[in-house]
Amino acid sequence: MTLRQRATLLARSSWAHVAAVLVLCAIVAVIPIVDPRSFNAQRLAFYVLWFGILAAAWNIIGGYAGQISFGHSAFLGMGAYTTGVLWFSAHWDPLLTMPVAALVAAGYAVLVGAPTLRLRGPYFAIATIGVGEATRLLAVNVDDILGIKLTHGVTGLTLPNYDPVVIHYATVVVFALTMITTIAIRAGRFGLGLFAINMDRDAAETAGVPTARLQIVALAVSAVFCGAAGSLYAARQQFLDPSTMFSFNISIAIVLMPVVGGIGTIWGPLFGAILYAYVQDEITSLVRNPFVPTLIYGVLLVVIVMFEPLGIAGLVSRLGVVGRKLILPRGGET
Amino acid sequence: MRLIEALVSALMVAGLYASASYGLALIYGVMKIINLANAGTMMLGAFTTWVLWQSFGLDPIASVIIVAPLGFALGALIEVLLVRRVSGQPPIVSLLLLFGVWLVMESAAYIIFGGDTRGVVPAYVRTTFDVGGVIVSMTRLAVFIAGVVILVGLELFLRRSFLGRAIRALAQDRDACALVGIDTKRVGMLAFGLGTSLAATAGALLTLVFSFDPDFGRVLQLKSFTIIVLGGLESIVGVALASFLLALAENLTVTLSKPALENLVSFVVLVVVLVVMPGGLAALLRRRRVA
Repeated sequence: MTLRQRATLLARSSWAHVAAVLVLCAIVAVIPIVDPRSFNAQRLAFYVLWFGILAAAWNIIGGYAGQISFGHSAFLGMGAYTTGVLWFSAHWDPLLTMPVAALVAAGYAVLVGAPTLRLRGPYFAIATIGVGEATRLLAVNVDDILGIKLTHGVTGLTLPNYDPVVIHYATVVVFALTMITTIAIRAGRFGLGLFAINMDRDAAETAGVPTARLQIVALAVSAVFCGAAGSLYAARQQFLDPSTMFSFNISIAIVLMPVVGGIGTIWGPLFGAILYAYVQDEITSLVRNPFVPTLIYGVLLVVIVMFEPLGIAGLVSRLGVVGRKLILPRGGET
Repeated sequence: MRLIEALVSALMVAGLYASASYGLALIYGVMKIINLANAGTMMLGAFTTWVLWQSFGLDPIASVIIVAPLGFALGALIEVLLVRRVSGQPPIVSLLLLFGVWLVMESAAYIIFGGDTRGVVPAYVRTTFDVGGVIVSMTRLAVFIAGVVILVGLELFLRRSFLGRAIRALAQDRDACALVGIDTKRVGMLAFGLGTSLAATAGALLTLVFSFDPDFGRVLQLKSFTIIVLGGLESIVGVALASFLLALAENLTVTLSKPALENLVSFVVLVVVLVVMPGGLAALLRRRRVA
């Protein structure tokens, strides 16, 4: 058996992917132990994993089921604000609020998903722009509507300090859970249903796939991890305001990372997140114009859609190190 | 009295919304593509108008003569270089592609012009009229009239000219068009160019009413989409009607509730329409005619 065939066989097994995730997480987890003062490395690791969580979570609904959402900042913001409010007003420990934040985000996903997921492809995509915008407006105005100080409107929430090393570990754990979930979904019946929806919704429906239910569940699972990511952000940044947490720019980033990295693949979202964090960090400090990275992403997006629909993951497979079957969204038959 | 006031002001805003949405409806009708770059084109139209006004003192309405052909050229270029090559692929592909184009347009504008809010202020900006007891500014009236003129012109073009009929035929059945000898690629390019040109024109006109920055058009994008869905996706008259309804709904929300919730209206209308009557107003009218 050649090396390449072995690699392909290995890629078929989800356990190999899970093992790779665990090894990666173990390496990142020891950063603060090896060098407790490596603040810059920890910051970079946080951003890569944090963006990775968001990108992989988006990939479940956007990549697997093919329903592009331009409104994922809504779920991120919901999670962040749940943690923020519970921490600020009820003095809960932010990490303990994470399950609550994830559930709130999931509940919100079911609420907005039930009507919008009746829409197909492009219609759903446009409606999600509205979801993002509407959620931002709600977050800004909820204090006025309810008469209680919750989000503190446009001024934002300033939160207490929290140990960044604990957040580092928490981020690693959430990232591992996100990746393992996406791997498990891809291998299972649920994922099969999502890919069927992606390929032909009518055919899937005819074959007995409960398309409406699967999509709502996929959106909710996606929102769970976005909500958890919101918690992590609140605990680390100690400041929340609606115009950044619910911004369209974050929604754009959440779309760009998995699409540029490789839509529908396991590792594509992480590739996209690494690229995004790197470009954000390096180019922004290099040219001092925050719009140069956006220009780069726009060009990248156009190039990828035109020439390599599987993004960076597709390019990696073209190098021939690993078979293209390793990369393809499912089964390798497309 | 309050009602008349709401109606007149909704009518004025409707002209503005309609001109921003014609291009989107035309491109959707012919190519079944949602042109996410519509907002970007509108913004570029606005900035071109601003540059013309700054350098030569050209009036925004007069600058349409320059902006419209430029928009057409840009649209035709985008169609030939990009959109055409992904035709036949799932609609998500063209959506992401045009989303990329929009990002490029927006960030390029930020890099060139910076993030400052600009405005075009011709001498007549403060002129107002009294329409049935309601004060209407000259600029709003001008944009409204332009919206009506474009509507009439576009309808005439689509119904009377050969090319216009070819565009409508293409919207109905692409294969049948090819069979009777219509150059579908060329007509597709012309339709995309025309749609983009309409968006650029809208951008030029909107400078009269709004100040703008490179992000200009994003909120209008959602509204435009709501409008074309409400209007039945392919009907130009539907667009005009839907613009009026949306403007009225927004106006009433702002009067009865909070101004900040204005942008929520379009989202709610969008979801309700898509779920309750996916065919929009056009389907509703058609059903009545049949009954």
